[in-house]
Amino acid sequence: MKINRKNNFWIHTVLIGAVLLTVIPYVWMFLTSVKTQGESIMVPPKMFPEVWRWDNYKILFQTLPFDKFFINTFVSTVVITVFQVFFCAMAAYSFARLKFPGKKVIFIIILSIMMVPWQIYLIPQYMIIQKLGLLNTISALILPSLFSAYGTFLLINFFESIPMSLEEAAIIDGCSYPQIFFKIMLPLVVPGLIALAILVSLWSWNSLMWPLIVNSSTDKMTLSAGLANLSGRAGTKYPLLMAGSVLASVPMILFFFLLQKKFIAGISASGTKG
Amino acid sequence: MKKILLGLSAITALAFTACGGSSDNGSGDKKVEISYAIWAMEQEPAEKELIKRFEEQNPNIKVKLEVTPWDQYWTKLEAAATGGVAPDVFSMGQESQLKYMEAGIAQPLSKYIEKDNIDMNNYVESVRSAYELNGEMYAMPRDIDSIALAYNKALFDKAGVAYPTNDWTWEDLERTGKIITEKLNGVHAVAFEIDGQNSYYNLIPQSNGFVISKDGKTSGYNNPETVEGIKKMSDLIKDGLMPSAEELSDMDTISLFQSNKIAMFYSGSWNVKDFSENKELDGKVGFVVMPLIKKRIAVSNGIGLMMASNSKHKDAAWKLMKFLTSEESQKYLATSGTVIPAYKSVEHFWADGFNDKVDVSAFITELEYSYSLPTSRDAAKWRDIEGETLKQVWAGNMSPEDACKEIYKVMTEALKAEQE
Amino acid sequence: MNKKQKNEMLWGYLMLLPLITGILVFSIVPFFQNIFYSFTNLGSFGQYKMIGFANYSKLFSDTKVWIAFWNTFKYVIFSVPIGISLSLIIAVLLNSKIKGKGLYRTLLFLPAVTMPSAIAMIWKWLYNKDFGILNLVFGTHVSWMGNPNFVFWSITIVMIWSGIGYNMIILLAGLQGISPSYYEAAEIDGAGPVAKFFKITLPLLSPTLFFVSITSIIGTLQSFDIVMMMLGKTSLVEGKATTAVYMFYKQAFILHNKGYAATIAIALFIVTMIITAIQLRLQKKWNID
Repeated sequence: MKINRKNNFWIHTVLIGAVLLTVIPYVWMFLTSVKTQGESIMVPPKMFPEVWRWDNYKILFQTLPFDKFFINTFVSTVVITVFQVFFCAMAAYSFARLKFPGKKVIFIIILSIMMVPWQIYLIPQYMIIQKLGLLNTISALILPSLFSAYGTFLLINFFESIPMSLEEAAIIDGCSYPQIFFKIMLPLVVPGLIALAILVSLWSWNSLMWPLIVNSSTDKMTLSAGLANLSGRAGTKYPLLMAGSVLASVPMILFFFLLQKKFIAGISASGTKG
Repeated sequence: MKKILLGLSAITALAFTACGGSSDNGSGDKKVEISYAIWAMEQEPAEKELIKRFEEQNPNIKVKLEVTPWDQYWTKLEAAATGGVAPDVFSMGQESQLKYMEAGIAQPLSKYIEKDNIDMNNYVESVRSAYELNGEMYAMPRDIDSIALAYNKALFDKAGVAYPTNDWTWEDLERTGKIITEKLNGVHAVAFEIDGQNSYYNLIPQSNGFVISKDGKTSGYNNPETVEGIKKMSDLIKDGLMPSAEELSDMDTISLFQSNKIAMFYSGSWNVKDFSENKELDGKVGFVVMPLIKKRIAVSNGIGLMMASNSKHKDAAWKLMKFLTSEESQKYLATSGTVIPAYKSVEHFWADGFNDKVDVSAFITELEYSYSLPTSRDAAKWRDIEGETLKQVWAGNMSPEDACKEIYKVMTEALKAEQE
Repeated sequence: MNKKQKNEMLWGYLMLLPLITGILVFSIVPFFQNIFYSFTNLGSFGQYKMIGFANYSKLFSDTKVWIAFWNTFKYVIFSVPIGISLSLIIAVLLNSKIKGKGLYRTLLFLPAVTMPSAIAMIWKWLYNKDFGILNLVFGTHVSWMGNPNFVFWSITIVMIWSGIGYNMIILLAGLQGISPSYYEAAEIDGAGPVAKFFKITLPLLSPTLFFVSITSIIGTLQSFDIVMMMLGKTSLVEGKATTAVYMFYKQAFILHNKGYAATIAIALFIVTMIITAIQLRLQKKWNID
């Protein structure tokens, strides 16, 4: 899309407006992390702290095993993202391109899984993990999340928008289905894979309920779940919670920033549409 | 691409081997590991200290402390109990204890208590009785809480009225409240948290009504005195002494108090530590016993330690429970300002610990006439309707009389269902 | 079936295998368990008795649940179209040849990594009757979260706000698949940015748009976290804003009526199925045109 000066100005204006709206809570989160407890809940709200208490970050590490949270979250997120993207891509390709009996039924069943509140899976999955003897482990964090209906649908969408002609050529050339999958299809849906990778890692990074239910030691917790301990019946320790949240968000922000570069306007890896 | 896959398989392998982490030591080592579940992370330091002392005295027992935030604690405990893997020792509160006792999840403790000659009279009566069923004890009382009237000295000074005293009656509260509300713009005299424990569970019995009968079979909401108790609170809202439901939805009572928007509220003893650490409230908060309506009584919710009935290490679990509820451990809980212990003779140490900052003896006084939180086996079912219906009263959409009639109906049905 | 078809079938199943195995164990079995439990009075500790259709007849006359479902519909009707439109506009803008794309995208991504309690805190402050910026800007003195007439809309706004980042990511990915040659050809024909948007971008992006609308509707039908966060535990006007999933959660985890909760989940499932089926049919018609 060619940009002239006038368009450029308006685009920036709209974007800056949008950014202001989205950034304010994050800035608030950061400012709260350096306030005292009293300052953080005061009404009328106090924008800036009297004294910038960077100490809160040190206290955070003393109060909770934050480093363990980080490792647990990092490991589980990486494993979940890699495997989920891989499993979903394979399944999505199968649905989008391959013919086999029972396809429609299986498709509907997978679709149905998404249409119920996720909480109905909480206790049954807990029971399965318990029977496997995996309670309170990192594997417990990972296992049920390796499989996703949502991810599969996202990728089906991307696979379907690739023209059939490329595959047909490959089949004539004598390529096997796995070869077609790895050498032709995957590279063409890279934007979709990236989008899924971002969404999955974000979801896994922030997951709170499941780690709290399935793991019991504080040192087997993830970031969000571990930080939830700062909210109790007797109120919430806001400055510490926000400090932890700021630290927890930094890796995801970096990750997103690096990946989104692949979303380059109008260029795709090899072969184009139309 | 290959490198990435290699690296990721390495991480995967690492992740899956890390799962075998907490396995037993080799054979011949008689070390026993028991798990102990709590929900209050702010009490973790005190618990860790007590566990350290316990492990020093009992070198063959290792205690694994499990902290789960309140909201998820109950879901997890129930799931674990259902799967037969409840923690060896777990904390229990008075909202749900009957459920665990009647379902046989909690191990009966009388034989342990008798064998070790523990005198249960050392513990506050309301906590003890909450965990007793058919003559059998199901938990060791650990701590107790209490409610007192908290007031903002600065606001009282500004309005030029005298501070509340331990001799205050409800009329004193109303009278002073009117003056404060009139004199100070934008400030309300008093507020209550919507939770029953800090409000109507006190007002009702203080007006000579009751919520549920001692045998847990009858609802007290058809009692005119109970209605009187509810009216005390709804009248405050009607007369403008208490913020409206809309205002309370906008901001909760504690925030209102800490922002100098209300002069008094019924505070739980669990707020004291926070208030004492809040620099903005320094020297501004005072506590007296709740003003007298018809009778002096206060509701308490005491925590008990239960043992899982299918624990594999019952003797070790008992040793831990006995230790944590011994006079010395209880004294430590008090002196560290962590909680008010259930052990009567050392309760006052909790208040003493705050003496240089604020006088909290009112809470200890209230313990003399405390009663256990009204509950029944499936209390959650009627407590939900109770709360929802009363919310309509606070919002001015329903009269106290109609609300109590409605609650009585629902409670009676629910209690009847429990008997079947 | 000839050898080629057999080969295709084999690979079809094989590539599906890991996903299906996992989903079978972790999701499909619990899903059918849920259907079973809706015919029981499952309570605490796994104890239950079969009670036939009693839960279903209870559901029919349960006004609170109907209101919650109705609220949920309203959330879908208002937050989905607005949310997707905004995400679309932003995605298109972020796909253009302006400077600082990366920075903008990352900043707009921030709500997705902001702690939910921080989000609730700041919005509650924005909505506050006495000090909220909203009241300051509009010169009003309204309690946005406490007034029963406004609380629904206040929460809808937060829903839209927090969902923009996610859809933006997917739409950005979808936009990558549109070849620049289309735009170049259009420019040669003299088309301006608006014409290009409606004649090229929208039609070519429509598969992704359909996907986003289906998943957003399904997701919004299951709203829970944001609503609970904003309402908190002390709101006195919940009735105007709670959702179907909250009803499920309350019955399952607070009141321990897991059998009845399962019934609510099934009701939500049926509703979602019907809506999704309608959408898929509309999508087919659109594609044929």
